[in-house]
Amino acid sequence: MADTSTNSGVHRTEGGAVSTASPRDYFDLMKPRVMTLVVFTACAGLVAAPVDMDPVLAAIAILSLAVGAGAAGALNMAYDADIDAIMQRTRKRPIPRGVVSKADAYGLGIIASILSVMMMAMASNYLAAGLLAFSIFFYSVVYSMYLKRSTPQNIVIGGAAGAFPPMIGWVAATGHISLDAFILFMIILLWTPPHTWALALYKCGDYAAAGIPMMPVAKGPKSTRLQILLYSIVLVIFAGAPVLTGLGGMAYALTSLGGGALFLLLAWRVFNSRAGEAGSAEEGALYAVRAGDKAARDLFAYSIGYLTVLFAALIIEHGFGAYMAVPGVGG
Amino acid sequence: MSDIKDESLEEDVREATPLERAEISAFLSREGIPTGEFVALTPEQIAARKRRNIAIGFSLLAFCVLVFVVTVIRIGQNFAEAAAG
Repeated sequence: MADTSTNSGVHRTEGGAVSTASPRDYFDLMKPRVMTLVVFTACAGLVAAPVDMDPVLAAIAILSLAVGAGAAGALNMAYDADIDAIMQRTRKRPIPRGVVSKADAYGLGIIASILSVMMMAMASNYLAAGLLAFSIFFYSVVYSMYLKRSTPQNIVIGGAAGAFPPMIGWVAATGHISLDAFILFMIILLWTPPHTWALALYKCGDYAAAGIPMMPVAKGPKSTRLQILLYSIVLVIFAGAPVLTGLGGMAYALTSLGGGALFLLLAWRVFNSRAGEAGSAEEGALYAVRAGDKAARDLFAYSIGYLTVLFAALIIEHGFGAYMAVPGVGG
Repeated sequence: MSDIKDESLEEDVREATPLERAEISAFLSREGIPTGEFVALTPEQIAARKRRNIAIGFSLLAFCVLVFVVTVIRIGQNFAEAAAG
């Protein structure tokens, strides 16, 4: 910011506080990777619902949901800028890098929240819009501002925010919450702890430095490994529930069975490992890991694939006419 | 940014070239506060601002199109329901 003067003595200041942020930096604020999973699970809920929605309105509803999730992500990044700057994994985000200001992130988050909820109400119904508004509030206020820094159960409770998308997709199509929508919600809710704690095990030094009471930091790696195993067992059992209600057919049943068995195997390996006891990996990359933490890294990576395949099975069955009822169960 | 000059603005104006006087005039009429300070953007900042403006423009356009499309479809659905009795 060099200063230059004109002949008249009127001062010019080069640069000033004007940003050089690109649209891509603002897009990064919206956590595009999380948005992808949100869109995918919401599509599954919408496609699996027993009511056909106008395809254009359905696409707009999904877009609204994606923008809403992005808005919540921007609000989260604005509030967590201080701890993001400390953690290796997050210090390259736009606000810690100094590219985007916190005020701009809050502005983007609030405006995108309002527009996404409004658009959801127009494209589907008020219940879906209300659920979207609540999930944005839950993630950006209840989780980000309170739970995350105050309790090791932060992601157990806060995971509800990430579990809403398939339910919102379902409600956008049907206009009401049913047992099947609740089951989809519960699958993601139960999936979140083993998924997040697996990451926290090999990034626990990062969380400890930032003062975040993640389970491995607050209760230790051994307790976390046990809880990962227990949650994994409950998750794999619960993931079979759609077969019992008739929501999931043969393809879903086989996917759930095979995918669940591998999930349990990896969770068992984490339980028997010493993951989390060597401290954090030095590198900032998401999958960088010390030798002893490999089992946790594998579970973290696989858990994303597991959820994706489960919901993909529902999309294929209901969206592409591949549904075959499992003999003897379901409707 | 704290480079406010000691001399009065009147003196600056007296010594300014016609182009600079026009700049000062525009500045005063816009802000109303004679700080005597200007921000000259760097080429990178100008380019970044232009990219952001374009992105905001497209976003607003997309929003308007979406509202229009939703409205048309909703009206069509309402007509269809009314026709069906």
